[in-house]
Amino acid sequence: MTETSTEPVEALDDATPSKAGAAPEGAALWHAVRHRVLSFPFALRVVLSVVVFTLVVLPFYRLILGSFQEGGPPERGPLTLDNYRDTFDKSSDIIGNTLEFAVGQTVVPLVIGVLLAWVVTRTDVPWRGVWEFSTIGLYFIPLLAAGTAWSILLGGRNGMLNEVIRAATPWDGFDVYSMPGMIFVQSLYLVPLVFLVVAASMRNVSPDYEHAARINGASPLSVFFRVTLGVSRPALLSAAVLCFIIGLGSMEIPLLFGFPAKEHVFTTDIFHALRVRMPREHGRASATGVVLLAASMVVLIMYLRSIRHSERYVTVSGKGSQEAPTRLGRWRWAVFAACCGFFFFTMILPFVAVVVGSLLPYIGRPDTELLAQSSLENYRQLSDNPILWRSLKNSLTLSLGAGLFVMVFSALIAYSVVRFKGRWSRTIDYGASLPLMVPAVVMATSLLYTYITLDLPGGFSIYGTLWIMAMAYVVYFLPVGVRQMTGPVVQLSADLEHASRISGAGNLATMARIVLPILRPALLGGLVLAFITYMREFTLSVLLFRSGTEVITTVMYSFYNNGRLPFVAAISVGLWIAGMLLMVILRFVLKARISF
Amino acid sequence: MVRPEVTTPSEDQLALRADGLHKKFGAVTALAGVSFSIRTGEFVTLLGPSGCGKSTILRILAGIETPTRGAVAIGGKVVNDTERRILVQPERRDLSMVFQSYAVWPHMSVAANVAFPLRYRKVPRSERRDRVTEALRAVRMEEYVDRYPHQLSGGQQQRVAVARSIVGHPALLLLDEPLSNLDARLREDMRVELKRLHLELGLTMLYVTHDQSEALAMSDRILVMDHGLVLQEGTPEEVYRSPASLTVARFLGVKNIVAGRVAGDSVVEALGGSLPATMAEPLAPGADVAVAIRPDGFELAEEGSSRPSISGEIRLAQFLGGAYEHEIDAGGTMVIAQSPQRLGGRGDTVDLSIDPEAVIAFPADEPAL
Repeated sequence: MTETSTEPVEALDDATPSKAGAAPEGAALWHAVRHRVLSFPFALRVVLSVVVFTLVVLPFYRLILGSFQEGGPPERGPLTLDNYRDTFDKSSDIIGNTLEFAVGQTVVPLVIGVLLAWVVTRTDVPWRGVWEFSTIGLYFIPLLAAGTAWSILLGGRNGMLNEVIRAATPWDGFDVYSMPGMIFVQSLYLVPLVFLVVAASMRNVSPDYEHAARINGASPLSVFFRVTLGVSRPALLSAAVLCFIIGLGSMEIPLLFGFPAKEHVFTTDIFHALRVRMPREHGRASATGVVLLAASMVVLIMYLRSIRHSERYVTVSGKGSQEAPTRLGRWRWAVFAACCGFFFFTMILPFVAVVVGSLLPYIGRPDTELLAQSSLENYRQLSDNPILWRSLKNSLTLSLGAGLFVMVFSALIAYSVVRFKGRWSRTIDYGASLPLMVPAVVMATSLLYTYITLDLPGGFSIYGTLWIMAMAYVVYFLPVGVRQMTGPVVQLSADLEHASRISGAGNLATMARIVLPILRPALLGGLVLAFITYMREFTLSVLLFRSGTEVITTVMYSFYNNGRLPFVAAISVGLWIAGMLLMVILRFVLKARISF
Repeated sequence: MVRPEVTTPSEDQLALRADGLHKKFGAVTALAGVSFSIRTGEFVTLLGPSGCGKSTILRILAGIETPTRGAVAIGGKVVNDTERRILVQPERRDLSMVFQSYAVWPHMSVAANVAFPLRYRKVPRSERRDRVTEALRAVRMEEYVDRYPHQLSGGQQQRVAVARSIVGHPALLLLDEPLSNLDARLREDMRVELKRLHLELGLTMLYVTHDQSEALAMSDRILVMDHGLVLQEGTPEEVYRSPASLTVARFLGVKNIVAGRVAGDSVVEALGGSLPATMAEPLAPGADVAVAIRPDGFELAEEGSSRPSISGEIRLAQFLGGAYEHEIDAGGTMVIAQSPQRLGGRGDTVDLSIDPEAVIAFPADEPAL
């Protein structure tokens, strides 16, 4: 009950004594209304609750309800289980594929990401800063652009690298249009996520733990497995859960590589039910969505059970000593070479592929005949394409608009949780964190399902507008945004606000002139992260866009679908360079530490 | 020292009146009914240990906390009355506050920080610059006008906070342990500065501290608090010389509290002898008492004097600069004696007489701190 002590005054503005004895009950009610309902903490939390409800709770409710109904919106049919029967009957191989893909693209990046995190934070390998920067930089490359690059390199018989391998060796090369190919490419670009989560945890561990183990006789290898990995276990688990849920819900690689390989997963199934097959199979899509949601909840519950005793892993932080606890000795240069290799395979080679691909009329064997035809023709044709420019405008508008909204909104949620405490604020926080556990494809399906029938006054419907995409974008980043803002808000002393109130500024003026300006650096860092997340976003967009609301990634996909790989490569080059520029700005201009 | 005559002041002379303030945090009672008033131009201190409720009072007066029960009027205007359901927001109360944590806004320059309250006090833009300069000059910070808080030391930030609190000429200035985050030297300087500002600007100040020397040096009136109650109210001299209870005596730095027994009218037996003493309340002869002896009450007994004295052995003598402090074993009880002269060296046995004013006897069953 210390709650009251931190709660700012429940507002009452003027000294208006009630007429004593006139209407004591009415006065008490009026007092209660002014005291509680019209107060700033109350009003703020009402607004936050309404938005979280509209964006998160209502859509999931409608999705689950819809999965048990016949037909799809706008008509609502009687209750039925047919949708689920449909989903499971037609998709025995889909279930297996989905699991295989999700598990594969969890295990591989976990291994690579943990090794990289260990190398960067716990060893004396040369250029540690470079490896950290370039690994995080992978997050700034749209997965669609990276997928395009690997499609140019290893895409079936025509992949350039495959052509070279076939010409020079007895092997056929590696077809990326396959389940191993999907897992390989998706994994490379999930490494930064694992790295960020695990490196943050490892960095906080005092080198003394490792030194103590060595002194007590453990070999360097068992120190790594028993001590370093041991104390980072909670971080490893949460990285794994994050990857798994992304794997259940992301669309780009399954659509790019799985479709030609006929390796279908639930995400592509939903895509076909909602955007390809006629008539639209809303019921089946929502049932599939609920199945995905259930799968991620199972994983989440397993995760929560396994971190029940996480207080055991509270570690003594290092004193920020620069000395690496593990000296690699003669392995130092081997590890260095491995880092160089990773950098080459994730950054350099794919970038060269999209650059070369963007200059060619078609993708094929890179012989002198083909290379002689290279020109800027693709760029010229693209620059004349009005849909591309429209989609670029849409992407920038959405990314900036949704980014600004989500960061300010996240700051207000974090503020409400930190300042007002209490069950209500915590519930808002849970609601805002929920999307973290929801596969992106389910998020898009549920929003689509909810707002396809919503007609606002004046015949205005948000379905098929940029608004519904903005809503999806906001939901998608909200959990990350709130995490980004919670730390800075905790550090904000309440006295700063009290001083402002006492100086004469009201609640809103204090918010606008004191709280948000002080949080500006954190808001700006979060905005850049949200912006880049939105620019590379594909799964939500491809389910929600319509003619006129294309974004850059959906335009890339439609070029890809029409076999215009060089066009996609050209757009990828642009996004790749823009992503790297943003990364440099975030790191060296805003000096923000990137974290999740 | 000349003090305003203590009479019942009329309402319009009062800068502040607090009536029966109660505050509960769940089951914990922070304030158990506190009433006091402050006259315009007065410097009043709330003195007490941490957790005694003094900061809660300040926050209630400022409007950033609400009392469970009670009323507050500032400058004759009721800003808080739980009976009549009145609660005025902090921004509508004519007061300002200096925080222990300074609370200087980090994203604003010194000038912008100080100018902030003027915006809401409807001071015309043209006047603001002069007012800011005036306030900064008062705290000797005028050359830092364009700096940002991170470029200032803690002491300088505190000065900016003070400038911000006086710029709007508030009817009442609240100070919440403003010196406790400063180092010893700076604390002394700042204490003098605050007192100087009080006198020069004629401000009404309510000061909260747990440091009795600050309270004694600065205040016109002190309210000694503990456990959510005011234990004693009076001038610094009054509370220092005649503490109303053992707790107050302890809190004002009386280090010698010894067991004794009432021997007669204004005489107690303690420290192996008979001492003339001030009785805190009428006590029957033979009653057990706790005797508080201020360290500055000891002096060497004059030979042949009829004044009662005790004898003791000096265990330790230390030179403190302005005075000597001695640890004396008097009849098996250790006492601390301070005097301008050295009473003797280690191992010396001396006869000491004690100023009756410095010896106060309290009933022994009074709960100690």
